[in-house]
Order: sequence, then structure tokens, then C-alpha cells
Amino acid sequence: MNTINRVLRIFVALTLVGSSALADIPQELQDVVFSGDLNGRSSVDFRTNARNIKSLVPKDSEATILETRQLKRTGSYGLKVRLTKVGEAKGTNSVKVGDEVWVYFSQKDPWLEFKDKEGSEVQDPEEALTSRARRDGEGLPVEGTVTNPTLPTKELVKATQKPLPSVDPNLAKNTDPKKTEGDICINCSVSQTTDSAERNIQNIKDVGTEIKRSSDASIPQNAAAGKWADDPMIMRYSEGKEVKNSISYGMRNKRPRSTKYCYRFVKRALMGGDMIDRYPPGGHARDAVRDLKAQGMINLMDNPKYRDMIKSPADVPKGAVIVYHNNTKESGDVQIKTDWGSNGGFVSDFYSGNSFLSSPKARRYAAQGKPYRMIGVMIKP
Amino acid sequence: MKKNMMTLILCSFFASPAMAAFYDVREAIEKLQAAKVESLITVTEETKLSEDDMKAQDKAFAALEAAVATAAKESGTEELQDEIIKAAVVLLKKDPTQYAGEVILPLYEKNKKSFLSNLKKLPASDSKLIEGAVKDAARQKKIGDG
Repeated sequence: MNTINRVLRIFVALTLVGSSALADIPQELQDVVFSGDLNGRSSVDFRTNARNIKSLVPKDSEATILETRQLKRTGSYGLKVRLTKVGEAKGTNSVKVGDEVWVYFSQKDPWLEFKDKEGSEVQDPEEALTSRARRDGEGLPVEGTVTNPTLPTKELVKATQKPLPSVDPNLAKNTDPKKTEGDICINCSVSQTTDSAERNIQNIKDVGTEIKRSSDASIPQNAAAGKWADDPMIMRYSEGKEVKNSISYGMRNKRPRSTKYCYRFVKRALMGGDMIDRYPPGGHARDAVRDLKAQGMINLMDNPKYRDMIKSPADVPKGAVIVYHNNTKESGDVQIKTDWGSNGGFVSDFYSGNSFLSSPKARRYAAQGKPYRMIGVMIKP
Repeated sequence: MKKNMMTLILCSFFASPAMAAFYDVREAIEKLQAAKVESLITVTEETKLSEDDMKAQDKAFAALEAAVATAAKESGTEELQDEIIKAAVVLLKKDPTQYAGEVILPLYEKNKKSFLSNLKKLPASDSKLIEGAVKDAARQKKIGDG
């Protein structure tokens, strides 16, 4: 009986270890379907002056992936494929079944759809391509390609952020251009005492105030926090330096309008602000709940106490990552709240004073009976 | 007399789908023009949308969506397509979420070459804006993000 029990335990443990290890393995690329006409080339050189175009691969063709490389110059990918089905031929230059050619894949303008060994659509082509390119690159390095490509690291994310606008710190205090630097401090709260005894008393008072403030440091204070002010976990998160740095990174790197890459920008903001250490693998905004939980963040919507407190994005604490979805095939949306209450805006690939739920898209889906809702309000305890 | 009547009935029988399509297209154009996209608020980073702003936006996007559905279904809708592209450019300039790119996506997917050649009539900056938005929407539909 004891032996059976022990064998069962070992089996369960091995199954758990095996499944958790498999969870991090990206989907294996197997087949590719062409959703547009592409040039088939004899080598992995996609420059405009490269004279290696062998044939045209027409739309609706299908192929098996033989080799994948990440290109040094653009970061896009070259794929060596063997044609298994050829779409409607256009001219005499079309490929034939069995031909092996190199084709170009760009995230910006993809004309390829990927399938794994089971025939399911690949969720995150970038991750799957990177993983495959690493394996292929180690075998035989090819000129013009990256031998060992990786997903963005924290160092790379920090190094590629836009520089801060250069503002003179003294002039930054002055909102009235008519005032000189000396005028700025006229209404300052710090008293400008000349007498040394008075100055000493003032200094002692300042030290006393500072000691009192630092003794309360376990719960940071902010009058704007409202109903969250008494919650130490939320206050420590929202007033912490990781949130400040993540918001700052997001605001520095945002675009003027949406690029439909909200999750990519949020991933980078969280890495740039030291909130998370690894680039989350998910290819859809809705994956953020799963991905961020895997890196130690928690979903306030899992807790009935917090769920009751959060009825709209305005209720969400500062710095929380809000994930929206509507139980359809849509990718969803993800935003970082930049301040408390209704003062707060929302940053992802662009900044808006309005949450995603107020966007024309969310309202359109709500009118069609498929409303978006907040499926995740993520913070790091 | 009988012969003439029969001819008339037959003609009207065969012409009715074409007439219906013609009226659908006219109606879509009129609705799109009535939505007055030019008068919508331009949403900036500081804008907090009011209920009225949202209603006006919803009306414009609903008209655009209906027009795209008609243009994707019927043939010979060049005038309607031009109106759609004009309205989409205005909406893309006024709405930073770029939702108009997703709304006109069916038109782009129906015939990419014809869609892109229609953009050549626009000023270069408008053409770039609409091409970028529709390609971003196509990429999001295919490989995701959000």
C-alpha cells in the first residue's frame, strides 16, 4: 500500500513539474499560409538590390517551415519554406509544389499566418519565431542574420527609451515667464530667515517633521488616494518608485495615437520601471492577467473586497495595470492608470484622459451586447 | 398590349436588385454625410469626453460601419468608397484610438489593390495616415496585441 502511495506521489509530482515546464515553451512552428503574394528568394537577403528572387509565391499558398533567421538590420525574420500547396498562379514565374524558397516576415505588415504541429494558429509569432531562429542560428550562422536572437531584455528596454526633454530645473519651477529666478521663491513655504538662532529653530522643526513623516513611512500618504488611503498594500504599491518609473517610462515612450500595440508598450513600461524582470510572452492584451501573475503581480478583481471597491476605471488605484476583454476572439486592451481617481489618465501605446471603456470601440461592442469589462486590475504586492 | 406588359414586368423583375443596390448606396452616402464627422470633437490627451461627445462619435462610427458594409457587399460603389475614405481620414485625425481603421478594414480586405490605389487621390499625409491605420488593424486582427 505504501509503495503504491509513493509511486502515485512521484507520478503526480513528475506530471506537475512536466506541465509547468511545458507551459513556458513557445508553440512549435510547423506550417505557414500566405495571405498575400510574396517573393521567393534563393538566399536570406531581402535588400531591394539583392538579385536573388527566384519566383513568386501567390496568395493562399501553403508551406512547411524549414529554417528561420532573424535579420540583423531590421529585426524582422527570414523563413526558408518548402511549398506544399500553391495558390492561384500569376504568370510563369510562380513557385511549384516542393520548391524551397526564402520569404520575408515583418511584424508590421505580416502576410503570413503560422500554424503549429496540431494545425492550431500560433498565438505569438514573435516568440515562436525567436525561439526557432535561436535553434536554427546555433546550427549554422548566416551572414546578415542574428545567430542567437532573444526577446527584449530589461537592459535593452531601458537603453531604447526616449530621452527626457531637457528642462532647466530652476526655470521649471517658474510658471510666469516675467519672473526672474530670484523672484520664484517669494511665495515659497520655506521661511527665509536671516537670524541664525531663528534658522536653527526652523531647522530643528524641519527635522522633527521629517522624523514624524519617516516614522509613518510604512504607509505612504496621499490625500488624493481617497478610499485607498487606509490600505497599506495599495498605498505602498501606488506610491512606490516602480510605479513612478513605469508611468514615467510609459509617458516618455507613448505615441500620439494608437498603433494597436498596447500590450507591447505596457510590457516595456513595466520592464523599464523595474516592475517585472522578464518580457511577458503573451501576444494579446487579454494574456496580461496570466503573464503578469507569472511575474508576481496579483489581480485585485480576484478578491471580492477589492472587486466591490472597483466599479469603474476611475476607482482603480494609481499605477495599476487594467486589462479589458469581452469574451470574444478580440485581443482586448491594457492600460496603466497614471494617477488617483478621476485625475488619472491611462497610458499604453498612447495616452488618453479616458479609459478604454469610454472608447468608440468599447461603446460599439457594448451596443452589440458584447461589452468589454475589466478582467484584471494588476498590482505588485 | 399584353406583350408590352410582360416585357415591362420582366424588365422590372430583373432591374429591381440593381435599383435596390443603387438606393442602398445612395442611402449610405446620405447617412454618412448626415453624420457630419467634421463637426466632431478632436480628442486630445487632456479631453474628457462628455455624454454628447460620445453620442456624436457613436453616430458617426455607426454611419461609417453601415457604409462600409454596403460598399463591401455591392459592386460599382466608387462614389461611396470615396466618401468612406474621406470620413475615415477625418475620424482618424479626431480620434487617437484609431478605431476608424478597424471599421474600414472589410473594405481593405475585399480588394487591397483597389483600396490602396484609391488613397492616391488624397494628400500624402492623409494617405499615409489611413494606410497605416488600416494595416495596423489588419495586423492586429491577424496576430493580435491590442
